[in-house]
This record gives sequence, structure tokens and C-alpha cells, in this order.
Amino acid sequence: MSTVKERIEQANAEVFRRITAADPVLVDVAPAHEVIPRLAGDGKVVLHSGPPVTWPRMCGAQKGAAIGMALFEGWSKTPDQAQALFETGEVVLEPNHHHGAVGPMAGTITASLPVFVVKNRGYGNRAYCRPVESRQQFGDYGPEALRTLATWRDVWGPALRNALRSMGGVPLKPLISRALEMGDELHNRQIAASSLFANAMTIPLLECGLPKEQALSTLRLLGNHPVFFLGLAMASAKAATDAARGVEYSTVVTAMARNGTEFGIQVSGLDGEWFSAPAPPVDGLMLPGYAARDAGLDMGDSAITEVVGWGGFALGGAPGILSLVGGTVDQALTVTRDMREITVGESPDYRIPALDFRGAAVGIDVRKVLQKNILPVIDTAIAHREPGHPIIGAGWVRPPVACFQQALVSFAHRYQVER
Amino acid sequence: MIRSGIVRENRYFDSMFLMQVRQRMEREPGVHQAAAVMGTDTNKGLLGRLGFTGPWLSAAGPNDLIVAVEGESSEIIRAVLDRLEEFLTQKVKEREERPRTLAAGLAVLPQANLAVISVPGRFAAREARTALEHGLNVFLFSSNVSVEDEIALKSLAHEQGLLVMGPDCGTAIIRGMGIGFANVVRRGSIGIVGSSGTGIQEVTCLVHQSGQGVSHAIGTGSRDLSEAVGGVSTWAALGVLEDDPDTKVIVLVSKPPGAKPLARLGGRLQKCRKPVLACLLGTGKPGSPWEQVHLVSTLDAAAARAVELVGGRPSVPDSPDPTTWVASVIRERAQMSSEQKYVRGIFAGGTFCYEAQHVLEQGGIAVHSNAPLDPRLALDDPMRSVGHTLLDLGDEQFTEGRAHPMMDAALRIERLLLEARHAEVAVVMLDFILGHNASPDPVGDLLPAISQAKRAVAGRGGYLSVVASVCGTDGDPQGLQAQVTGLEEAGVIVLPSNAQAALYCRALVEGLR
Amino acid sequence: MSEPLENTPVGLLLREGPRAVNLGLAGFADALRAQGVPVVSVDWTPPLVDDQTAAILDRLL
Repeated sequence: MSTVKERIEQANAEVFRRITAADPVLVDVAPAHEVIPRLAGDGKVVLHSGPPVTWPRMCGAQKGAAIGMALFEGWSKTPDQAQALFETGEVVLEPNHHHGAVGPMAGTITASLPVFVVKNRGYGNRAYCRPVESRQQFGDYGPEALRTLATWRDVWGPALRNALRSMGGVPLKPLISRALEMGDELHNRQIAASSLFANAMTIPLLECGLPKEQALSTLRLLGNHPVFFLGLAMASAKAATDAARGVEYSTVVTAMARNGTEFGIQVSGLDGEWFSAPAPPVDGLMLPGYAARDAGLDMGDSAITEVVGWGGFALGGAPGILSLVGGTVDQALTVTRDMREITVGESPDYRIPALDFRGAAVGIDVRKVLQKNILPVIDTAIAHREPGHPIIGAGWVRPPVACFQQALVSFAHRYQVER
Repeated sequence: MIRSGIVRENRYFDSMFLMQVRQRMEREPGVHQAAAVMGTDTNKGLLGRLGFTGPWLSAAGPNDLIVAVEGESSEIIRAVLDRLEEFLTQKVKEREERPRTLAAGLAVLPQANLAVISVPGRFAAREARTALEHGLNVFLFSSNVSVEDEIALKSLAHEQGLLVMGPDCGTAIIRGMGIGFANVVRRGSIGIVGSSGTGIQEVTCLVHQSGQGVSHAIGTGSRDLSEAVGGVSTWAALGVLEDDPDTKVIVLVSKPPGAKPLARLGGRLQKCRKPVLACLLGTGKPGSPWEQVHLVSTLDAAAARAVELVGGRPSVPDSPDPTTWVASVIRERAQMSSEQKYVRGIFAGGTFCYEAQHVLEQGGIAVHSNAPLDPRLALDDPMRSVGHTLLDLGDEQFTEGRAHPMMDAALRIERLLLEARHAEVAVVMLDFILGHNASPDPVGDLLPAISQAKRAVAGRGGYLSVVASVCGTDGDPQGLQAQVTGLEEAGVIVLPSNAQAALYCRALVEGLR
Repeated sequence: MSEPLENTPVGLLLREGPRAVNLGLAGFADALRAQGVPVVSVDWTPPLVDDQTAAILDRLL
């Protein structure tokens, strides 16, 4: 075995070790400007999902979401005015991933939006994710969509913050382990995790001295929001993968993210670079009133969950959403087993009963993806291709091959692997 | 009795799963009891009642994993606790997974010594290289591998004492086991090295039919003896057969290489410590320029001489006596019309096509072909035969996007019916190849078309002579005798070797000029 | 050329008979299995590479 191969194997083992050693704890729900320095100044900044994108190239749903954030922050009074702000470049657009953050679907984060703050006790770093809802993050900037964001800012965010501070944070690893055993895959299905989290928060919310109405409103949110936990799963995954960035010679993926225009991946040994290609369409099932032709292309930072071995990588353990991949347990198990072929190892802690308690496949190796002709599987929701709509469907998607090929070529340059 | 344990913070496992873990730990020698539980107050109380106490235990919380062991000594306990991760993952038997890569396949069969590779040519060299790097010999069936890759693979193999059979290698028999397209032949003392798969098949079958057997037959790939490749695999195969105690006589089967490689080959063969017979297809007259090396120019002669060298009696003589065919030839000819003049060969085996051309040309007959002996006789359009034409239907011009004629008769059926439409055609020559991986009934596949062709010619007042040989043995899945009988019942003249079939065709058409 | 080849990997192949890993045509593996040869079939798929990336991958994997 040549030196470069050995170094890659060692580096990938280190990345695997770091990802699996992550110990995420939800420590706070904070207004984004308090924890993300880029959002602390006076400038107008919208963070978004996926690799970098300019306003003209931004997809419809993400534009709608960005307009929603401008209205939410009070930068403009009407959607037209908001649009003008983006067109003139007065609002700066940057990826969440550049700021330790992630966001579902359009993924937009601005200064006053609350974010979950997850501390990785295994490594000491923190990561952030915005709350999950079903309208604004899909590009809807109507009054109801904006009202949800305002309630987060004024009611739920502060309530959760109080409760978390009173209890000293919630370790998420045990919740995630249990949820994976209860049929969640933590990307499209979060029912068990959301319930476990609601359980964990009930007493603290009632005991931390909140006005009764605020506590009850927050409990109603937690008790009736089947995908609430996605924000926490994403922040946990981001905290784990950020700890694994920048390991020299590693060919393991540290981020997969989409902005509805492009699909981008990042690789530990090539930190800071994006390898992007046009976002693929999602193979999915549509909600009533919508058809496949309405669908936008793949979007969101939520594929960070697959990077740590959940989502499509744990699909075999989530029988409730098998319809996404054709409907049979066998198909889902096959997909999940395939993921072992392209990863470094199996998680010692996150185990899937349907796979005989074997661990989730962790650490997507760019080399193996290309060699074995197996692309990662990502569970995802579907947004409309035009601004102004809520969620319209769900399905699954695989990244473009080009992302992995580009990463391989870049690796050869970066580490001067002679041809 | 010693009791101890550990706490793993923040690691949650289902209680049923942990009961299984406990069972695994308790199977270890010297362990009296074990426990693996989450650190709830109830569980801690339970452990306390079992005699486990200490600050390590009281500190555990409900999200922490507690593992406690009672055993004969602290060493035993420590050893078990050190192996906790193993117990957590042990014996997770799943239904067998199919390996996706060569390395994964090797993990399933670690004692493997050979990679059999038939993936598309543009990927074949990579897989072959991986196989060599893992210490495997390679049988490389794939064609379309570049000469550069072939040279690199063979030099890598040479360095490691490995053998690359191929690229474009169709046949090998190692210790009685047929690889690729191979016939069922008995083991014996004749070793074969060959660059031609069907050539090896014909020689091994005739050896078997003569009551003798084959020690090993090693394919080298169609280009191995070219100047560029330099015979690396031929050299390796000769070397290993020389040292092989089972091999008494070595037969080399090849198309004649260029002048330089031929000279090197001669030098190598002369140094061989065992009797060597070189079958260089299509080289003029028998008789060897090299001392101690027997030289023949047809496959049946090679088999016959090899059988004689090990003291046997060949089933097909070295040089047949065409006079025995006179009656049959006259009978065939008598029914033909005056326009019928030419032989058309429709071959599945490229080497048979080549050998038949040689036999006809020895008789002064110019033969056209898509794979001609003489480049000046190349067909302009392989879809249109001219004069005497012998076709290799296994050639890429024909197989592009279609199955090889050794496995699927469709190409040969089309061509046979096409030839039968032409009034000047007198004889159709065919080869049938039996054995592993060939069609389950090569003769049966073609019989309807043969009868149809014969009827078509008879319908216009002529007679179509069909001449064939069957390359196979009584041990082959298709059965040699059944195949031959099928042909004879359809009025096909069946000869015991391809060279004899060609000779018979020569006798037929010579009288028609 | 003069050293004995019996104990080289190719010598061992002849002495012990084939034990094969098959990549490609499934029929080749079936035929070997039918003869009693130990054989494992690899579920081979073409890699997702072009000439450039294939060359790099060979160096890295």
C-alpha cells in the first residue's frame, strides 16, 4: 500500500472517530445575532441553505423565503420592496455552512430568528440550526408564514431558552439512539424523537417560571409538531461534522447541501471548497393539489443528517416512511445496506434493530462512491419551484456524480497525487 | 469472587438488546454473572442487590450504560470489560451480502488464487491490476484492453510470480477445472499453452478422444506473442509446466508470431526440459527449424503428435488420407447444379476460421474473409461473400451489440440462410463448439436453419453440401455423440476435426472448378 | 527462468487447482461452481469514472 493510500486511510479513520465521538447537547435557543457573529452587525445579511448562490441564480422557493426574512426583519414593507433590496445587492447572501449553521429547505437565517444552539461535548464546538416549520422555509412569505416566525421570536424561542437554562441543557445523543430504535430515521421521520423531546421539556417548561400561556403555547407546539426534532438532529449532525473538518488527506464528506439551484458537497481534507453541480429533481410523492411539474429542485441543508449516518442511511429502520423508496421493507433495507459500501464504518452508538442492531453507516468516502457506483441516498421534502408556497411533497434523491468527481480531481491537485 | 464494572456515559441502548449483550459476556470462561443496563435508579438498585457497589456505580445516570461483571479474577473481569465494544457488535448475523468489489469478494474467499474477469474492456485492466495487487492470478476474458495496459499488467504479474491469462483469453483448464469456454477432458500428462481459446479447445478435445489427458491448459491472450507484449505469459506458462510433475509433454498453440518474437520463441522452446510440440497455425510445411522442437501447422496434428509422444494412439491421424472420402465426395457433388462452385464458411470460432483458410490455401484455393490470412483477400463488405469466403462471426464487426455465436446462434442462422440464396454456393462449412459456457445445444440451435437452407437450394434444382466438425467430448454437458448424430441425421457431413472438415471442403470444391 | 516455479503463486495455482473470485459474466462463476471449484461472485458495477478520475482513483484506493 502506497503512502498516500495509508495517509488517506488514517485520515478517514480520524474523521470517523470524530464524527462518532460527537456528544451533542442542546444548550440554548438564542436569537441568531447573539451566537452567529456574521449576523451581529448592522448590515442586512440572510444566511441560506446549500453552497453559495447569487440572487439571480437563486431558485424560486429560496427567493420567496429570503423575501419572507426581509419582511420579518422589517427591512421592507412589501414583497416588491424586499425583492428590490436583493436585486440591488443591499442584502448580503451567504451559506449557513460558512457560519457553523444549517437550515432546512431554504434554510434562511437572519439576526432575530431564534436558532437551536447545540454544543458538541466531545469536541467543544457549537452548531446552530433554525426551527423547522412548514411554510416560510418552503418559500411562503404570506402573513401566516411570517406569524409563525414572529411567534418563534417572541414566544417559543424565549420559553425554550428559559427552560433549557433552568435544566442545564438536554443531551441529545440518548434521544437520538432511542428514536432510531423507535422507527425514526431523523430526516423525514422525527415522530419518536419529537415526542421524546417534548417529554423531556414538559416539566422544565412548567417549572421555569414562565407565564402559563407562554408555557402552554410552547407545549402545544412541541406536542403537535411531528418534525420538530429535525432542527435538533440537523444541529447535532452539523456539530459532529464540523468537528471532523480539515483533517489532512481525508476523502470523507463533511457536508452535503443544496440550494435548489446547485447541490454541493464538502470534503474534510479539502476544507473550504465546495464541489457543486446542478441540483437534481426529487423522486417523490406529492401532497394533494400539487403535481410533479410543480416541484422545485433538491433544496436544504438537511442532508447533513445523511452525512452522519441518519436519513437515507438509516431508512431500513424506518418502516413508517417506506413509501418514499418504493414501499417494501426489502427495498429500504437494500438501500441502507448499500450505504455501508461507501462509508468508513458503522456507528458504535446509533444502531438499527431492523439491521440486526448493526450501527448506522458513517463517513461517506468520495473514493468508494465513485469506485462502487453507489451514490448516497437522501430523504427529503419537496418545495414548489415558484416562491410563495408551503411544503408540497416528500421523496428521495441522490447527489450528482459530478460533485464527487470534482472532489477527487481537486484532491489530486491539493495533495499532488501524480497521474 | 470478584465484582467490578464500568460506566459509559451517554450511551443509550435498548434493554432487550442489552440482555443479549449480557448473555454474550456470560459465555466467557471465568465469568459468573454479568449485567449491562442503563443507569436508572431501579437498575442501580438491582445491581446493588447482586452485590455490585462502589462510587463508579452510584455516579451513573439514566442515560449512561453500566456494565458489571462478576468473575473468578480481576484479570478475567478486566479482559471482558476491555472487550465491551466487541460484545456490543458481536455475532450480528445478517443474510449474506453479495460482495461489490474484488477486495470484498476476497474477504469472502480469502484462500482464492485466481480472479476470473469478464467486465467491459475499459474497466478490465483496473480490475486485473487490483487482482494482481492482491496476489491473485488472473484469467482475463475481456477484450478491448489496450496493449499498454496489457504490458503493464504482465510486467506486474511477472514481478510477483503471477500469471495473467489474457486479455482476450477464452479458455483455460487448471488441474481439470475448465475456466471460461472449456471442455470436459480427463486429466493426463499433456500440458498446453495457447494464445487461442478455440485452438486449446480443439487440441484438448482430440487428446481426450484419443484416450489421453491434459495436465493443464493455460491461455495467454491473443496478443501475448506479439512483439510489443513479448510473450510474458507464454514464458511464465512454459516455465510452470516445465516444473509441473504432472506434465510430460508441452504443446504450444499459436498463430505464427512476427519474425523477432518467433526467433525468441524458438530459442525458448529449444531450451525446454520437456518434449515440446509447437502448433503454429498456418505455417507452411511441417518440419521444424528448431532442434528438438516438433512443429505442426494444424490443431489435429498437434493433438495427434502429442498423443504419440506420451505413447498413445491418436483418434484423428496426423495426416488423413483423403482417398477414403472419394465415394462421399462424388455423392455430394453429383447432386449439385453446374453454377455451384464455392465454399462458404460460417464460423463461431475465430481460430477455426483461420485454420480452415490455411488448409484451403494449401490447396491453392484463394479464400476471402473478414479475418483473412492474406490481407489482400479481405472482404470489402463483410455482409457480402465473394468467391470462396470463410467468415469469423465472432469478430467484432458482427458481434457489436449482439451475442457471441458460441452462445447464441442468431448471427449464424441469418448468415447461413443468406448464403443459401446464392446460386454459386456449393458448400457451407460450420464449426460447433461444446463445453462449459457454450450454448446448451449448439447443433439443435442451427438444425432448422440447415434444413431450411438445404431445402431452398434443392428447390431451385441444386444441392447444398453442409460440412461440419464438432469440438467437444463425451463428458461435455451437450454430449459429443448426440450433437454429431443430430448433424448426420440432417445430412451434414461431419468430420472429426476442423482441419479435416476444411480438407474435405477442399476436395469437394477442387472437383468443381 | 532456472529457479523452480512450484512455490510461486502460479505454481500453487496449478498444484492446488483454482479457487476463484469472478467479476463479470455470471455464467463463468456458475460453470466453475458446477465443477466443484470454490468461487465467489462479485456483484460488479462499472465505476463512476472517466479516464482522468479513473487514474486518480487508482492512486487513492
